Amino acid sequence: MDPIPKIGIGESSQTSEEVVIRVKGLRKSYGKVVAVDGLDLSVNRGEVFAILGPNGAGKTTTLEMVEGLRKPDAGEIEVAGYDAVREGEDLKRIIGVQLQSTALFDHLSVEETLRLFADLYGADGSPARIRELLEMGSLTEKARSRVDQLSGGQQHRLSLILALVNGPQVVFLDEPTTGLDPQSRRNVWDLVREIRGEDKTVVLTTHYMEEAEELCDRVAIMDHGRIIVCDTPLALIRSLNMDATVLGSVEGGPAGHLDADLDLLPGVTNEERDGKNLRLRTEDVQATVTGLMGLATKRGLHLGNLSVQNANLEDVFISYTGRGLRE
Amino acid sequence: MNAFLSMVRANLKMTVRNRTGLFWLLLFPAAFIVIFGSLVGGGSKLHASVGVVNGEATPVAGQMTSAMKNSKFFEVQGGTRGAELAKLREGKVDAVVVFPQGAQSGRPLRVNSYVDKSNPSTSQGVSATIAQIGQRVNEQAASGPAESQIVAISTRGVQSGHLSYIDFLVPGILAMSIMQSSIGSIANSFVVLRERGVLRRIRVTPFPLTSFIAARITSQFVVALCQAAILLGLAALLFHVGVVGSLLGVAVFVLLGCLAFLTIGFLVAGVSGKQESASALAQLISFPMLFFSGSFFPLNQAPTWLQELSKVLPLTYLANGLRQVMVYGAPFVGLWTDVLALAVSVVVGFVLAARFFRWEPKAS
Repeated sequence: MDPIPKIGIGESSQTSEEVVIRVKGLRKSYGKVVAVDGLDLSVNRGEVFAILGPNGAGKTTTLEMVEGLRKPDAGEIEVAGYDAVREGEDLKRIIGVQLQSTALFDHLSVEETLRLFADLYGADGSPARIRELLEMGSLTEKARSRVDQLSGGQQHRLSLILALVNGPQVVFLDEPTTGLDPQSRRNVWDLVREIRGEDKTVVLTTHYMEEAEELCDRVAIMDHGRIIVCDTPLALIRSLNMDATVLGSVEGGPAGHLDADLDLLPGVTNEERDGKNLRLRTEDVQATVTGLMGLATKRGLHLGNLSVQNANLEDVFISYTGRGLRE
Repeated sequence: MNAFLSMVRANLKMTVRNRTGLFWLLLFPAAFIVIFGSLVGGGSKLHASVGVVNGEATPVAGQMTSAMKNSKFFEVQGGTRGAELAKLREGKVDAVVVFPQGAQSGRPLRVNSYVDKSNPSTSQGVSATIAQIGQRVNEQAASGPAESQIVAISTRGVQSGHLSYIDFLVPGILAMSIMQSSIGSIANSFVVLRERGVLRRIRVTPFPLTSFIAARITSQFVVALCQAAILLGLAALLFHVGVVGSLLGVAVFVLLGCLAFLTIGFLVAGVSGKQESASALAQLISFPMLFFSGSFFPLNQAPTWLQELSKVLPLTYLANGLRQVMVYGAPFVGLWTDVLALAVSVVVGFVLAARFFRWEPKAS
């Protein structure tokens, strides 16, 4: 197959990497609704790549076309050397998929489900391999439990290790933590990191910015069927050139004493005080913090709960789309 | 392990573990047989009426006739050969024993007994008892100096129109349970698997969805054969209703019926969006069939419109085919109308099911 020329946004920072997924000019509409509108994407081998966007942005449709589950109206998709549109059947063998719906056969046990799917893939379903997968998903104790008796988090982990049953090169996870409590979410994150450690490429969709920030090497922000911007989380946040916020509270004296001097502190662009709590926007965190400490010492005040808050992906999303992720 | 066999095995495991399903599959028809069987009484009687012809013609015949009269099992009456055999065909007597008019010395007395084939349990009892009486006569002779065998009995079955209700009911119940399990299992479970996205999960594996369906059909075959074995076993054990014809013939009808109702199940799954509606539609299709197909009661006395209606219901042919093989021991080749009707039902069902079939939930 002819190599598709490199495409995609934000690739400049990663050009030395081997590209495992290339998507070019992808389009899909349902009737008059355009779900995916000329999408370009490239994912490097071994990275955890997130498609971040609000519900209805076209994340799932994009993922399902890349997995070969849906036919695009237009565009090219290459995954690990396979054409996802024409070679979907071959592609199935080397990718692992977790769908948004994690439902499985209720009346089978965890162990039986894993063995069945290993057989469906023609993959290794030996007791040793099943044990290994169970351990990975922290489901060893649940091996003989029936699927319908698992908690939401356990079902998610099962559907995740099920995506690994065939030893895939690329793993696709469609909203792997949606609807999970914080603890279960962290467990899933640990599992994703473990998969990444096995030198597999992971592509996931999410509408949680903290998930993308915590877990992913690169993030593509998607809205209205298009990728708006794609880079590492840190680069995206830095690109905003957004001020940090210094937070603190004034103890041991009236906070009003500071008011007149706050906006004279170096770097401060904006200041707010609510009772004894301070919020200082700054373009120079170090200078502002040093100045604030000096001022407090001079006035005999004690500063509590001092912290610095940086911009996050939510801010990135808002700045690019003009609205919040969960609006 | 082979993917196909693995899928079949998983299907069977799921069937056995689904308690509600199992109730309708086995417990309900079994209870039906037990309750109705107890109400109408078993097919085997404590008494059998025997028409004896030429009962006093020879000393040995006289000896046997009085043995029969002394037996609590038999109610003996006498008559001509023609009259008694006519009574047997009408179901008025259970057996006819014909002695020859005279004896030839040095040769055993040839006794012909005729039994009612349509009532296998009674006829088995009758032949066994007559054989026993003959054997006793022979044994008495053997202790003496005379010829060792004085009586030779041959038994023939005669087809009567007489049929006990339990004999009629058992094949009907078997047909019903095959219909219920074949339509119900597919209609419900397939919709659930589709709507909850399990079919999609199968679709992202290399296992073809056509194989997935083939595996469902195969496991349903196994289920239907097990149903047949258990229900027939129960009927034989409790009410001595046996299979007169070939078991192979029963199996062929079971599988053909299973296939016919599976296509209806797939059709129901295709047109229904939710499990509730699939379940309701399955009931809507199967319940009228239960009552209008002659599974529970014979339709020869029913109004003409009902008889005509029954002719378009696949269950009619399954129940009739099973009944013919089981009760009348009809040879399989003679049942081509039932086989053909079921085959047509399979084809029509398949075409309709394929037309409405979908792998994905309706676009929301």
